[in-house]
Amino acid sequence: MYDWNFNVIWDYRIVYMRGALITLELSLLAVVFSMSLGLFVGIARHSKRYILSFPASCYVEIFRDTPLLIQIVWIYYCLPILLGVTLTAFWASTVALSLHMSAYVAEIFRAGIVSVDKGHVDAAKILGLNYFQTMTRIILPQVFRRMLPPLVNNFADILKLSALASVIGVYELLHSVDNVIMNNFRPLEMYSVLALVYFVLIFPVAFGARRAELYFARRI
Amino acid sequence: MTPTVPAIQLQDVKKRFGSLDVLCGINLEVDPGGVVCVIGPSGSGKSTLLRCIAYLEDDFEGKIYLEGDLLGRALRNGHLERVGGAALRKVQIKVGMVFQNFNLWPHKTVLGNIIQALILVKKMTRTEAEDIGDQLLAKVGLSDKRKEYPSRLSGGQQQRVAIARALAMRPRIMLFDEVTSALDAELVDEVLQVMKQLAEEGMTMLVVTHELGFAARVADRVVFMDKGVVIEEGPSEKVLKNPSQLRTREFLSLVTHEEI
Ligand SMILES: Nc1ncnc2c1ncn2[C@@H]1O[C@H](COP(=O)(O)OP(=O)(O)O)[C@@H](O)[C@H]1O
Ligand SMILES: [Mg+2]
Repeated sequence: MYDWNFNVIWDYRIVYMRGALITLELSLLAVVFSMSLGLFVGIARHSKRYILSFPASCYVEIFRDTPLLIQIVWIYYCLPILLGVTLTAFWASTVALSLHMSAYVAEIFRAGIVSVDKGHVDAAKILGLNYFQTMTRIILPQVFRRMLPPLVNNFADILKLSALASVIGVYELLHSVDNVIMNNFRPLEMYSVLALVYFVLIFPVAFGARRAELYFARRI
Repeated sequence: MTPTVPAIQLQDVKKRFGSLDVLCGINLEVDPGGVVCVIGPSGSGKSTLLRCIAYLEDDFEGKIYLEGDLLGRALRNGHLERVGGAALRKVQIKVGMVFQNFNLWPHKTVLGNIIQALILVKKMTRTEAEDIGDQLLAKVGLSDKRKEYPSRLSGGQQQRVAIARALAMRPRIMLFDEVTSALDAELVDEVLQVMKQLAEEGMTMLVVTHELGFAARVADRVVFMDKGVVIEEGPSEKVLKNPSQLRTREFLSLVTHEEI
């Protein structure tokens, strides 16, 4: 019979807190970058111009169809060799996570843009709105409501996937906890609490999104 | 007397989608202030015709003149070249269009729909734009709905907002594509009434419609189209009551049958 002992955890509360901070930092940066990048790639992918849509499609497929773990390792170890650019482990993870998730964000945006009634765009065109105005005033505001749930889903994914940064030694939650386990040999307790900490980070996001969705649903 | 320049003039306009010939050489003229109704079976290319004139379809052959100006094309050394940018906008802005499905923007209020282009395209201040918006809403009888979202309006009301939105840009020519086809029968008249008033004010109108009663009362001329070709064109009285072509007669008897 395993002898559970959660008392030791309290001593490591600062480890969890520091780890959570790094996880949050990493994730928030990745959210901001992947959203901006994904928006552009999604719009490019939707473009009628092959010169825009083809590279965008390649981009999406490359980053979506290969493991994030390899992307992290690759950016960390190969970028210095190929481009002479050295990134810290934290930034290499941030970049990899941003690129990886931007492929998903691009698909969310593209699907959203496609879902807007063509007639709304026709109406905008006849009234003289240009492409940028139509995109920012007519298409994206409509799409945003529909995209909120998948985008939030994405944010939750990012928080969980950021644990992969541990492979190159970023002291986010998982790596910090792993480090402690090597000393106290309490993996089950440490991991159980770790899961709880992730839950505490992610649940409010999901909950807030649900509220936002309901709020918008009432407005239309 | 100088000859008047037609408000709309089409010369041998052709349009194809892939291998499908949708418009097969359309010639058409609409006088300034004229009201022309286009009738014809579904799939005959009526919507495509309007969409070319609105430049929503830019890939057509032939020439479209709006008040004498070539739409989306320029003649250079005898060659017809495509133009975009300001040269296109200057001509395209003459046209307003209303669609079967209204195409109001659901995330904007009634007033928001009407003033959006005034602010973004005509660079008006919000106050100026709202003044114009309110005038137009009064004109179509919807002043009390200015802050509503489109989804809370009836189809007839939505279509009147769509007309107001198009009018806000002060178009010289209005295109109507089966604007009452998606409406419940009891809502058709309120929209036709607005259109009739517009015609009486002297707006040039090209109207695709199945409402033959409206065509008879309001249109000067009627065009019957089938399979991308203008089969018959003439004064509305003549085309509707005493058509010269067999196909027109067949179509009219079919439509009138459905209505009874
Ligand atoms: N964007 C498009 N792509 C391919 N075919 C189209 C497109 N728009 C219209 N068509 C085809 O062109 C023909 C004429 O359509 P349309 O102009 O809508 O006719 P109408 O308005 O008289 O019913 C139809 O056969 C239709 O299927
Ligand atoms: Mg049609």
